[in-house]
Amino acid sequence: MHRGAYALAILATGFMTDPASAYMAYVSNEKDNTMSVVDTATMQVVKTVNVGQRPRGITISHDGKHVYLCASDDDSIEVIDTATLEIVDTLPSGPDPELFVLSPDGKTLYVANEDDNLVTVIDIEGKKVLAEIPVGVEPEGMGISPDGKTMVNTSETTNMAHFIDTSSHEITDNVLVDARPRFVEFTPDGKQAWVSAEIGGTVSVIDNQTREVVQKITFEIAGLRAESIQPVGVRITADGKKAYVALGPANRVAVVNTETYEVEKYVLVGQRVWQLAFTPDQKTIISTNGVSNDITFIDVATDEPVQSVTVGALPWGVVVSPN
Amino acid sequence: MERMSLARSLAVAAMLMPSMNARAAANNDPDWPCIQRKVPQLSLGQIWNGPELPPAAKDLSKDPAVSALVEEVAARRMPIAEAQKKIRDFAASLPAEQLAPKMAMLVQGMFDHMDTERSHVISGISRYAHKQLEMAAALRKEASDVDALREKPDADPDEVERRTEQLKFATRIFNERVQSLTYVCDVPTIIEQRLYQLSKAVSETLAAKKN
Repeated sequence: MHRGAYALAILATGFMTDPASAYMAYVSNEKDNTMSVVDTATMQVVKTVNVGQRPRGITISHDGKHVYLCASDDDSIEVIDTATLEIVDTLPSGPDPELFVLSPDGKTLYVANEDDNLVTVIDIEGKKVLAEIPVGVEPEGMGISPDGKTMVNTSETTNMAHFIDTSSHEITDNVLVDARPRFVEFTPDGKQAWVSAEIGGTVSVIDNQTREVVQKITFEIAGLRAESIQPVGVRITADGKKAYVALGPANRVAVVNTETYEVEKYVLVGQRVWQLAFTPDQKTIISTNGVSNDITFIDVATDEPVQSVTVGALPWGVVVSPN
Repeated sequence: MERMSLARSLAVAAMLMPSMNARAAANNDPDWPCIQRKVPQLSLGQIWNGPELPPAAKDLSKDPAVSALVEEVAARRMPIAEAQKKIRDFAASLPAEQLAPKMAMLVQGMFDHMDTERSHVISGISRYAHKQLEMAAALRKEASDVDALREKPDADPDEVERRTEQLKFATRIFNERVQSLTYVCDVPTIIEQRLYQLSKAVSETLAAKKN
């Protein structure tokens, strides 16, 4: 009986929507303490959920059942059930959690505590803090290698990328990058970590073997002052060929060829672009545009903006359901 | 009881000042109190992705219709949807060959007008912050003077009362100014948002023509 109903539901879903793009995008809105739920097929907001104070970092469990959200001013991480869209749990996060990364096995969250110069390691199932790792001043960006062995945290004031061994929770290398590093993204092969620097206006490409900066990517846009180019979010396609870099108040996303490190295109999306997320089929990348209060769907094949959708106030982060 | 609340409000004032200083330090400008990074001027590239604007676009004075429209849509009292409609209506009224040059003029005009307005707001915020720093210093001095006076065995109780009241009042004004700062700091962003939305309306009229 149940099984039959389930099969019917699947069939119905298959008929009603394009299966290639029927995902949900979850957007944290920093200023009005909400999370917007956006259907990526219709590109419409389907629900706005009230969450904790100052929601910023957002990610999702590998099975797509739970969204994890940093409620920075509530000093906690909220767990939202994606079926009911209700907050079902909170995790201890340490003070002022801003951004975090989920381990590839989906069991551990690594949280940057901006005010406390710590990275907090949380066991999701046990809901407990496993370790607190002291890092540089104002920790922010968090990235993890695809094998889960190396975690990288950036500190905004110390201007460093700290490479942390996830088995010992010790910092093994400190790599100096440009001013105010904001985000870390590993290439899918795990060979490089890309670190954006908001004030420095660059992305440093760090070799994960030698832990040295092998390339520094710079951005230039005609008619724009250099100080308005502030790289934040970075995402690399699953095939490792293209990187997308959100450029803050330059209001554009840069498309970078990962082989030549050349910027191939600047896509005008909205005001103060901070974070990015691919849909699982990699056909679309979504940007959060904080000042224009919207998100933009960019077609990955053509790198053209397809549609902007108004969400809540000051959209900060975005994650898309894996299924 | 009264002393308690006075002490508390002064403590609040004292707490607010270092945080203002810390923020300002991050911006390397002691008179910049906002959490938003200080961006004294915008660039055209932030709002415009269209074709490069010809130098003639600068010469707004030659076109009274465009310059009147700039004044009208830039004013924040006009709801944004209405302002965008004005732009679409204006575009629709133009002969085809005039659309591109007039729209270029409009974008340049809106940018110059609103960027100037925004710069004025930013210097206003700096003056405001500077005044706050001065007020805070004066409040701290007066608070310690009043405390010293109160400790004196021969202090005139009326004088103590009067100066305590004055100090409380000045502290209240200071705190209210701190509160308004949150709004004041948002104004440059509000102007920027509006400029972007207006430029987007212009881009759309040009894109519609191409299709």
